[in-house]
Amino acid sequence: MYSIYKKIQSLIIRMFYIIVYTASIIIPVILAIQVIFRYFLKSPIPGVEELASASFIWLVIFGSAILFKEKKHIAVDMFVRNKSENIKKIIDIGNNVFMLLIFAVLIYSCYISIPNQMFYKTVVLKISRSTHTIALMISFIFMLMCCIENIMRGLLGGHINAK
Amino acid sequence: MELIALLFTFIALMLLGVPVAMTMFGASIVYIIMDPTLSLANIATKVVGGVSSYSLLALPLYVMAGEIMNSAGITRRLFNLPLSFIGHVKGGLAHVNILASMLFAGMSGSAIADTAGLGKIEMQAMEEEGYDTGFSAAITAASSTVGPIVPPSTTLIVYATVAEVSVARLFLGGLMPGIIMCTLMMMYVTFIASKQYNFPTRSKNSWEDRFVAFKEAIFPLITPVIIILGIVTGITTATEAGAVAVIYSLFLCYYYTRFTLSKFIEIMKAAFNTTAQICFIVIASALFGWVITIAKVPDLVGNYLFALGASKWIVLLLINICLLFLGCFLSITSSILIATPTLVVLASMYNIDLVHLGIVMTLNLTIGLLTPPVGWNLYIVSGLANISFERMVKSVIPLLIPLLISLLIITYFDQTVLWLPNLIIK
Amino acid sequence: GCSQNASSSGSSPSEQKSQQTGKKEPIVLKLAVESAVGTPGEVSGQDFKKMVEEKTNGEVMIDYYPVGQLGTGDDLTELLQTGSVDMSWRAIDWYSKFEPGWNILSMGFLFRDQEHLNMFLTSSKNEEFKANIVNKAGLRVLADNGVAAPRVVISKKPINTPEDMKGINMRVPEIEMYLKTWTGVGVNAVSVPWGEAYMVLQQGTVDALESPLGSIYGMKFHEAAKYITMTNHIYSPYVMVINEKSYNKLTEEQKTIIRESAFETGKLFSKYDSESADIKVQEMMNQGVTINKTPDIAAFQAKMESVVEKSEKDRLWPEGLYDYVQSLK
Ligand code: NA
Ligand code: NA
Repeated sequence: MYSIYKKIQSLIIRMFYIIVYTASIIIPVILAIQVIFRYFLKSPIPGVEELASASFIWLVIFGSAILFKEKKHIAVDMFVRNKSENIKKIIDIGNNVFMLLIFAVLIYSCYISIPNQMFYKTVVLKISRSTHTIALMISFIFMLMCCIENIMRGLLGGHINAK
Repeated sequence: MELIALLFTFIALMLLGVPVAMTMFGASIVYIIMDPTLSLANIATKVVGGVSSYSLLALPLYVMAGEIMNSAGITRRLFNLPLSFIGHVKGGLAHVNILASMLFAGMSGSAIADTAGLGKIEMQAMEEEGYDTGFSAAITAASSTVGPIVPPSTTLIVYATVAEVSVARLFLGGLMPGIIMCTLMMMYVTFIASKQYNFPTRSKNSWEDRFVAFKEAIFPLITPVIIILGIVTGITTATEAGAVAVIYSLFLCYYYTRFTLSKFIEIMKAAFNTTAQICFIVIASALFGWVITIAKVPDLVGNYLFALGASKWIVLLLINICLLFLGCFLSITSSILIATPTLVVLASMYNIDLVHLGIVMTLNLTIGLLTPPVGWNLYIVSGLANISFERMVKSVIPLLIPLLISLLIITYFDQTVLWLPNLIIK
Repeated sequence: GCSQNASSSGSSPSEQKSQQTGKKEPIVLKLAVESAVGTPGEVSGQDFKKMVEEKTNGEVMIDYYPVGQLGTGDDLTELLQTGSVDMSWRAIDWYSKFEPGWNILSMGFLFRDQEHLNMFLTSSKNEEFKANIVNKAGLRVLADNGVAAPRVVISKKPINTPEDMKGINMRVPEIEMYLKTWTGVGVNAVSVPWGEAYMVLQQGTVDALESPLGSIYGMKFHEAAKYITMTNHIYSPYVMVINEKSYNKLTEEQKTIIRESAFETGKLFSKYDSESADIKVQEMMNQGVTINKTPDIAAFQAKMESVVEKSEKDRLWPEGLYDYVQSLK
């Protein structure tokens, strides 16, 4: 079971990486091209800012998910740093429970606002706002799964790695 | 009641070491659930809205440009340039340390990147010449504070997004304060050098050497010129200038290092790490700031100060004290995001220019990078220098003096900030 | 003092009053306004707050949030729909995504003059549209009489006919009909955030932009470009909108008061706006701005023919609406 879960997870992470890298390349390239078209050729390409903006949103949404998995998000750890291993472990489980609840609410919020956001579209490319909300929801679900995994690992100790 | 619950959740989760963005989400959710007039659906509204900003789009670009420059060995070239010119004066390497940071600040967005990349070279050079390790570490940490002030700056971009002011004006506004900071720090070094008779010295470089150093640094030095000229001439917006800087630095990086695909991916990864770290907090704080506004916190603070009869100068002083305090616990971005909604309301009550406020806030919070317990720069540099955190703190304290004087000057003479943007954009 | 703002902590003056008179808790409505402090939109919003609170004897209290504090643009519309924000006071354009009929209001050069717009606003068609918004979005328009000075063009070079604008870079807001209008005239539409508009105009990234007359002065555009052309291409009214659920919490009497106050607010807004517009025009002329009051509107209108045709084909608004509007006399 666990190894299948891990396989799926690494597949998802790879997908997230592809999205993030693609967005990272799209943003500078199309914006630089836009400068040439507007300033030198006197005919700006419509929709470039919208595409760049959408890429950026996806970069942030999926980049955040990757960082969450890798535990790289900024946190203030000065009060827990010097605690004993056991206390650290308990705090970590507690924090993951808190975050699990937070993600549950966030996912619910995305879910109920998707139908409404269909109406909100960008002018040129007609990118609907709900597209971003769905992406956000996927990212939150992924992070919620990470929380569950962290809690399980905390409770079961090393056993979870056994097949 | 709801407000108390919000603050309690926020502080409790923060102390427990939950990521800053999650503490903001958690606190906001608690408030929204407790206030029956608010709908949970709006969390998604605010989160997606928080990241859909054209100004914020500049952030990943300047982060990328900085990362590319860093990996192209450009830091070494930027260090050698001032070294060849003033390396021979007494305390020369300390001066060079400061100037190199200033040059690098012109192409990179964050203080941390500066310390990590350039800091290593600076520390090494000073140590080889026999400077006191504590002193070298302190200079390295302190001089990196110009990073977020001198354009481009991710911190200023984040501020511009929240306060809805022009990124271009903010960038131009940061230039003079950056120069003031450098000047004061160099004056401090001169003063120390005059007291300390055993400061190492080195021989003067020939003009040929200087020319070589200049030639090596000229292409990297064009980057800030591209950014500033692009914005000032109107060929690019501040965001597009970032895109051009990325493309230019990629060419440069390829020209210098012939990087491979895996190297390129490494650069991209470092860039999106920083971007996502900052922006995850940005989206959380879009929600958090909204809840704080609904709770009328900005008005409460403003009315309280008004009732006290506080003058503009007192308010600016209070802002500085509060921010220095905030900066002791939170990262720059988090502090900016938490404090800006309130301070913008205050600024409009007291007729404080938002560009001026942005620079004052940023400088203030960057100084916070040098104060424990969350002085990120102190941790990084003490790691680089391999000295204890306590020794690091002790060494850096005297250097806070020139920085705090800069802060006072910039706070109370708003023309130090506003003169340049007014001159160019008017 | 600060106690006024702590509406939920039970210490606001109105609540004390209601406790004394034995009445129940006041209904608190959050009103969001995007306009900057001191502008006609923001000042009239404050008037609304005062009117409602006085006329209902504090039974309905308005929590006032100006300067887009709670959200702007589509964000604010979403907040209104969910009821987290009860009311808003801003331009009608933000609601056209729920009523395609209102898209036509964002097309340039549609109305001959303010009188023509008023005819449309009081028409049976517009009543129909307003009813649709209640059903589709759960938003009720309380008043739509807040007509402001129309939008005009400010440019680096003098403009009289569409030919003068052909091929120039112009900052156009990201609203579909705005884009269609100006590309129809023949400009290169450039999308720039409002906050950077002054900058790009001054530096020549764009040669022209369009905005309400009042904003030109407020944003100091006239310092960056010296030619204002009174194209009067868009008359867009301010509308007072309330979430339908919040509206239904009110008693019949309170509903009447709030509707009347909204209408009164619209009148005050128009008055403030035209007063300040007159002063601003005079001041800008003193500062060396050339104002073209009689551009060749007919030539601009002629350019709209293909825009209308295309928009009707794309079903941006109900068929026949354009002819209906033109037939109003
Ligand atoms: Na340095
Ligand atoms: Na910088």
